[in-house]
Amino acid sequence: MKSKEAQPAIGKKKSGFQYTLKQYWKYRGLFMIMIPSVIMLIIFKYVPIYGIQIAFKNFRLKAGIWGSPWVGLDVFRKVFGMPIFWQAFQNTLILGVMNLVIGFPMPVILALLLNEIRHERYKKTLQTISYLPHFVSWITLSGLFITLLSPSTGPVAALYRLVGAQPYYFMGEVSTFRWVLVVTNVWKSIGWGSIVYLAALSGVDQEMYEAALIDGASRFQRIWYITLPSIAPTVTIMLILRAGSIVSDNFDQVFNMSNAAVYKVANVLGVYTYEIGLKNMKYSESTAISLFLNVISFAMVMLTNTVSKKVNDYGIW
Amino acid sequence: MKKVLALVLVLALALSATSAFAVKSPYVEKDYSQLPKYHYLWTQYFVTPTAEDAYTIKLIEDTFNVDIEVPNIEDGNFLEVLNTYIIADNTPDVIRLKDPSQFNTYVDQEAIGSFDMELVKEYFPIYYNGMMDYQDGLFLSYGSVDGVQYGLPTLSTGNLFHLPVVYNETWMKKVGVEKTPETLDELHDLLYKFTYEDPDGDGVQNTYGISSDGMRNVFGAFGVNPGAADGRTDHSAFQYLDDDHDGTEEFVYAATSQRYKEALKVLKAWYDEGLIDPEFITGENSGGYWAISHSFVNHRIGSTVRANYYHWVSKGDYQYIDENGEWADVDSGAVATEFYNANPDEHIIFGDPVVGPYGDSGVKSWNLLAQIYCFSPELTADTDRFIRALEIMNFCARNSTGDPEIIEQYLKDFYGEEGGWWYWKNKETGSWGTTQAYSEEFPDFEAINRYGRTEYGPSAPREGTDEGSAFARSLGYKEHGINTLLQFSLPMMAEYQTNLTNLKDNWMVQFITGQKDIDGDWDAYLKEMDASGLGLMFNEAKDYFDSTQ
Repeated sequence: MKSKEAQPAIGKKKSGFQYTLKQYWKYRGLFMIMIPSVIMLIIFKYVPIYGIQIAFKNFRLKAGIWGSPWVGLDVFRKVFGMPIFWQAFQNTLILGVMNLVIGFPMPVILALLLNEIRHERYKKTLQTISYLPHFVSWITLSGLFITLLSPSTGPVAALYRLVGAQPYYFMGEVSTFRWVLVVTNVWKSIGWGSIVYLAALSGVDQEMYEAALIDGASRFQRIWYITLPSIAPTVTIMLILRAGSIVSDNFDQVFNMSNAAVYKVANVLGVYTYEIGLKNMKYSESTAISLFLNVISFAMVMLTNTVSKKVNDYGIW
Repeated sequence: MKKVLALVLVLALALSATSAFAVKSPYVEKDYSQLPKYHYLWTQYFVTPTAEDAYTIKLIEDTFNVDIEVPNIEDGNFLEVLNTYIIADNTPDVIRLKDPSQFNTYVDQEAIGSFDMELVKEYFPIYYNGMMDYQDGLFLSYGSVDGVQYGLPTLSTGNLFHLPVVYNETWMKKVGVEKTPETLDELHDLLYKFTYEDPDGDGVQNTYGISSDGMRNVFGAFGVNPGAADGRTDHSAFQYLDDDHDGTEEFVYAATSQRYKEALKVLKAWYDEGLIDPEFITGENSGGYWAISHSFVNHRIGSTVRANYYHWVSKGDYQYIDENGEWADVDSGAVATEFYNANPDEHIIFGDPVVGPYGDSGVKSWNLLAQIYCFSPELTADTDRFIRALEIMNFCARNSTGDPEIIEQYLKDFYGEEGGWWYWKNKETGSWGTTQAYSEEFPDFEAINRYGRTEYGPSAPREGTDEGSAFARSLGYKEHGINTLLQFSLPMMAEYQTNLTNLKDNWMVQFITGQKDIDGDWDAYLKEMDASGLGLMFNEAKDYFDSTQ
């Protein structure tokens, strides 16, 4: 009996494999569409991993990546031995935490607000306006913000004067510069970041709202008890992905907006790596820094994933 | 009949095609067709991509029996792309290294080859003699490391003239000042009036004397050029300066000298008085073309020291001979044009650097050292092939000889007969111009313009003979320029300079705005600079200069 029972199991397994193959063949068209993305991923994300080895080498242009001599952890020792590196690391970390804590919830809030708008056209217009800054480069925006925030001629200063306050030099003060970076970053990315949540919101079952309405739930209660729990998995996954960015800074933004007065807070690792790596051709050093950051990033993602799974059962893995 | 006509046309086309390249320049004596044919990978300064069949490439290929391949590398990414060529073991034979501060790194990386200057002397005499005639060949040493030559430096002779000191002349008249300031005190008085006497007449106190770039005039009055925080970083700023007033000059880092400290005190006082735009920190240029001072154009300030004299020239400041052989008014320069568009009824006037308490005056001048031409190790190892490259560069550098006959031959080789693409502005001085600027209508000219002139290699340093240079000389801008001594990077500089410059600028802002006390915090400043590598960089530079004295 037993062997008889085992037979169909093997047969089932075989047919399962065949079934999978058949499915692959059946959807070959869709797989073909996927190929360019896979190739792109391999070329731009996997092949460059080969170059990470120069973090452990004294990279010589003529010898190339493979031919350069190994130096163990010498490059890391050198980088970690520089006080300026730790200053830049600290600046990056502070900026990263600020961006995460303030920047992460903003698109969720915007999506929730947009979701409550009943007038379709008004909603679409608002959405479009909120996306627009995403398409403007930082080099353009930095000039714009310098003008907007100018304590003498900027409109922000004019508002200050209107209420009888002394205008503030936001771009030139160490105490405010980080906030300028965070706020402008939120302004630029909030609309674009809300797309994912709006998509998640569109999938929420409308019948739940109707039932809640009959039960007499207020608008706020509907958001709190229906909308938020419904998009919680999406928010969690976005948070896990975002956690890695705690050690990444927005090079384009910081580089273009910084000035001599705020150097001590604006010297972030992105700018530092650019200056030693690209301008001074110290490729081993800049690779070592990037690798170091990637390791932290990866650890952060893993940690957030684990915590999230423990707390609310959602996670990527 | 049609067949005959077609045949004639084909023959005429074939003839014109061959004759275009069959003309042999009388300048070339050797018959290269008997010698082996060489291939070169030749990098260039690119404004537009180079066509493979550009006229001048063909000319050189046919004249010298060579095959020239030009990799089209966009100028903004030149070094990054160049490095990928080197890593791929395909180092270009001729490399125009546009940033001399990278030179030592390439030598250290063994990416470029060394060569014997005797070969340059013999086969590239236009360059060699020109360099030897200029400050006894001092600049040739910038292409050598430990006595071994690795590169051929070129000079940007336009940088002989220091940065322009400009004022809003209309404002000056409005506040009752007739002549441009000559001393630091006069400058102070004028800037005071610019700030408090409402020169723009709008009834609001919204004007200032100077902003970040104008500070150069004050630093120069103390004899120093520490580099202003203007986004175009000054290299190192080492100077010889009588810093302790004992009659002998010492080797100093400008931004830690006593003179610098004194200048800072003046700037701090002026800042407290309100003469300096409190927003000097974010600079005078708010985007777009780098030379423009938006603060000056938009009536925030009445004086600045920025870009080059030709950016500030007003229409009619001097005259030049046009293609019809007639005198014509020069047009306004790039910044002046912006200014007059915004303020059509006003006028810009050039001034001199003001004299300070110890009789010093001057403002920064851009580095004379422009680029260093380098060669692949494979090319310099093959003497015959290297010699041919030198001969080609000599052929292309004839424009810099200053000899009208040689220049005329050069022009005929590259541009055809006089009156076609080119004309003499002044034959005696060798000054010439092109009759047509590049445009869609002149594709032939495009082919020439894309590739050629002396840009195949370095040329001899020769001061401009054009009317613009004469105008700058008449302003006295050849004198009182403060040049940084080290115009390329030594190893320690490459390591520490970027951070030191940032730190220096950061402290400069804090000293001027009063966030730090100049006397009280000076030692802390020096200490931080030293902890960030200034001592190491300074000693290395001093040793270098001691060894070259």
